[in-house]
Amino acid sequence: MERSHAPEVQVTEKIEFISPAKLTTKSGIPFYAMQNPTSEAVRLELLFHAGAIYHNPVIASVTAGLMLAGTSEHTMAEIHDKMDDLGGFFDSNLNAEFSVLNIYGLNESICELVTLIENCLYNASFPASELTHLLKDRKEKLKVRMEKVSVLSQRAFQENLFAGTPYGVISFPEDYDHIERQDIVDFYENHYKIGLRRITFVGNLTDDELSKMVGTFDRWENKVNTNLPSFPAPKSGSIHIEKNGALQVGLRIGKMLFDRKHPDYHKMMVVNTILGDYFGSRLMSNIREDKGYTYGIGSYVSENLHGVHFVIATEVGKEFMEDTLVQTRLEIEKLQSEPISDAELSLVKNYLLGQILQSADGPFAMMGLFSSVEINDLDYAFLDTSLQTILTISPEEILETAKQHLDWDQMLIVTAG
Amino acid sequence: MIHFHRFQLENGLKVIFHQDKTTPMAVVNTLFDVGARDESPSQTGFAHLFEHLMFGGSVNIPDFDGPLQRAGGNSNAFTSNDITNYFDVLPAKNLETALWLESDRMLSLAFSDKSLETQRSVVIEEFKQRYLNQPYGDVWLELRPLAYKVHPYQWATIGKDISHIENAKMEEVRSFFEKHYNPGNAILTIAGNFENQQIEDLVQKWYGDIPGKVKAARLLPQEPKQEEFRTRTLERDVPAEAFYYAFKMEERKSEGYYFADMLSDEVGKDKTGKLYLKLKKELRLVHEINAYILGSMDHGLFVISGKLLPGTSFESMETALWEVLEEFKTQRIHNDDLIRLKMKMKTSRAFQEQGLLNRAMNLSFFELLGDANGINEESEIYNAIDSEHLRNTAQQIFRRENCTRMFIKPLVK
Repeated sequence: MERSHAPEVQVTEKIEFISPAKLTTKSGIPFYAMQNPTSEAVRLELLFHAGAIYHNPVIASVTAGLMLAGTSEHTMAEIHDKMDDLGGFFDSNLNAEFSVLNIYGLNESICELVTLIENCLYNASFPASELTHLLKDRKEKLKVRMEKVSVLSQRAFQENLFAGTPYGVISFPEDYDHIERQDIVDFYENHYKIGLRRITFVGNLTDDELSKMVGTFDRWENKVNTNLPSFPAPKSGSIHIEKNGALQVGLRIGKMLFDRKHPDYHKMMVVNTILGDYFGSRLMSNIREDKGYTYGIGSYVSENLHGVHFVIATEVGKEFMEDTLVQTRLEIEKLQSEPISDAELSLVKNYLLGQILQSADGPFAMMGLFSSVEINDLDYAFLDTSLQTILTISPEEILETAKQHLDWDQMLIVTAG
Repeated sequence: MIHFHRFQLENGLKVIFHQDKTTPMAVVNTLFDVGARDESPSQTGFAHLFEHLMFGGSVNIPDFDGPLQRAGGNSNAFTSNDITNYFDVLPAKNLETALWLESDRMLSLAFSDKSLETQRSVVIEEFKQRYLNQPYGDVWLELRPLAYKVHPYQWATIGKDISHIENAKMEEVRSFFEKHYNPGNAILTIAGNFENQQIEDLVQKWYGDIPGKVKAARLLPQEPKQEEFRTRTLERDVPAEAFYYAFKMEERKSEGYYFADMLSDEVGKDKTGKLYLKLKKELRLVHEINAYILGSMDHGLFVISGKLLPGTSFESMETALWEVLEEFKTQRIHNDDLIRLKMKMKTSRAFQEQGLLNRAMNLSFFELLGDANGINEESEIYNAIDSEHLRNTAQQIFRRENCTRMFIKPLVK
């Protein structure tokens, strides 16, 4: 048995991206539907222009948290019992720009479930007692979160990188003491009822059932003004947040970047992967696998529409913080000065292509990919360009991209510990 | 219904193949029947440290991850108190790369000093990140030894003491491998768009020559029946009082496991459950309350945990908690609620079965329990549960003398 030679590897060169069917509600909100013929599992996702940037993080998160807290006809417990009857689950996610509500259920009862939930969402009454409770509970949860160095460093990074913009506003426990119910109701009226940006559906319904479901959302609208003030000059430099007794330091290093329409975007994604976005990345190899300073380190490009930024994130032993900064800088400078070897580049290319293949595997994954391009007003040509860039990018282009967009002097460095 | 084809090699390796013609990906999942419960009390954390070393190069291949990434794949692993599970996901056409890598590390490791030194340090940082430098992070390090007096569940997978990791020696690591890492102690599951014969041939090719060994007998000290209420209060630098009630429950293979699992869904139900309605909504004692089970192979724990709201006391929470638990012991769960629990399980199962990796992992795990087909029989077991089963289970579990309680109080500064 010849074990020291690797079996031949085949490169993924083509991936078929499947488009969902597009329907629209009466008011023109797009409803995308992807068939899932082999399973009973169904998901409906509602995307609202109701992120934290439109008011403040507390208002946005509390409104999202109370969407199924009651109507004039039903209490929260009654709503949840009815959902349970149909085997339904509901969750919500909030980011700076959007509020995402997800309904999960079974194909056999999804029409009933969606009718029920749409009705509760449209008639949400934000009961005062549920609001009071949620504010207190959220306040306590935030206090717990603020004991973590990862959270402290992330908050300070966000607050400083986006200083002077709605993206840079963070919440504090005392903010939860000063919330008026009317602000929640107003936010709901202005960002949910008339803020529905998109509906996506993965399941197995007939055309008739689908168009009926689309009709359920005819009374929702999308009229939110999403024009944002421009971002001030980006901030760099170092900030430290003291946390007594911490054994590790939370570290964030990053800068503002550009959005998906910038010509260097795809190249930057390759650079980011090489530097810190997979297990074999330069940062993981150096800081974890060579030095053992951390359980994990990674770099990311944020998925916002605006205020897209690059960030390196890790928690390292206190005694390793200084050298982690030195080594991180060295790794970035190496990317900017030494061309990547053919062996490493071909590995990264193959790896990335395999990951995209995986992210297109199955209707739920495929809908995720579609959603991420659609929200940027792009289509699958964007993913095809991404594939082409990965297949053809040269060592020189990588070096140039790193030079142009990862200048250490422009980095904002936050440590908490 | 999850279909599979099962066979065994002469060296003892059990293999499950699950065909999925719709996916371009393949999963290779390797479950080793070894976990933290198999460690010696003076060398805890070894199973998990060892999981890290499995990525540090094998006898013929210096680097595990590089070749897999070059084939477009990724890999990870986890260690529990019962098992160590490794998985690779990669484009199906490169399946053989994963089999080459996995079979070589089952054959033997590189055992490089550099790898041991680095992973020792990485695991120490993991210990800090997950257990020591988080609010409430060390609760389970303290709660386990209180709940288990003799069974090795008394330590967490990370180990009972960081010094065990600091002092780990190469010869000890090597003997851990010798004892637990061999084909007879593993279940290999492959999933993807392949044919039975093709998988049989490939597995024979890559794993056939790995020497078999007699599976070491597992002789674990059995935990005696708990007969007294146990309690401890920790003072920590935390913002809110937290509580943990850990009740002993039956082992994974028993019927009682399923009863306890379903009971925990009912007790821990958000928004409509009795605990939520009484302690969180009506009395405003807690800002968080959960119920869940640790589904251990041997006798496990049914846990109720939460955090107090400011201005309330452990005493008033405890009174209300036992009142609610008493209701579960005396009153039958309403039939509507039972149907709801089963409906939600049906949805959860449909979503779990969406993922190729999930299916592969679960097939391995059910084979470890005795029969991979258990994955297809579980829903029947749950569907047959009635309210009397749940009430009896509540009566068995929710007893003071079956309970270990941990309170965490903020340090007085």
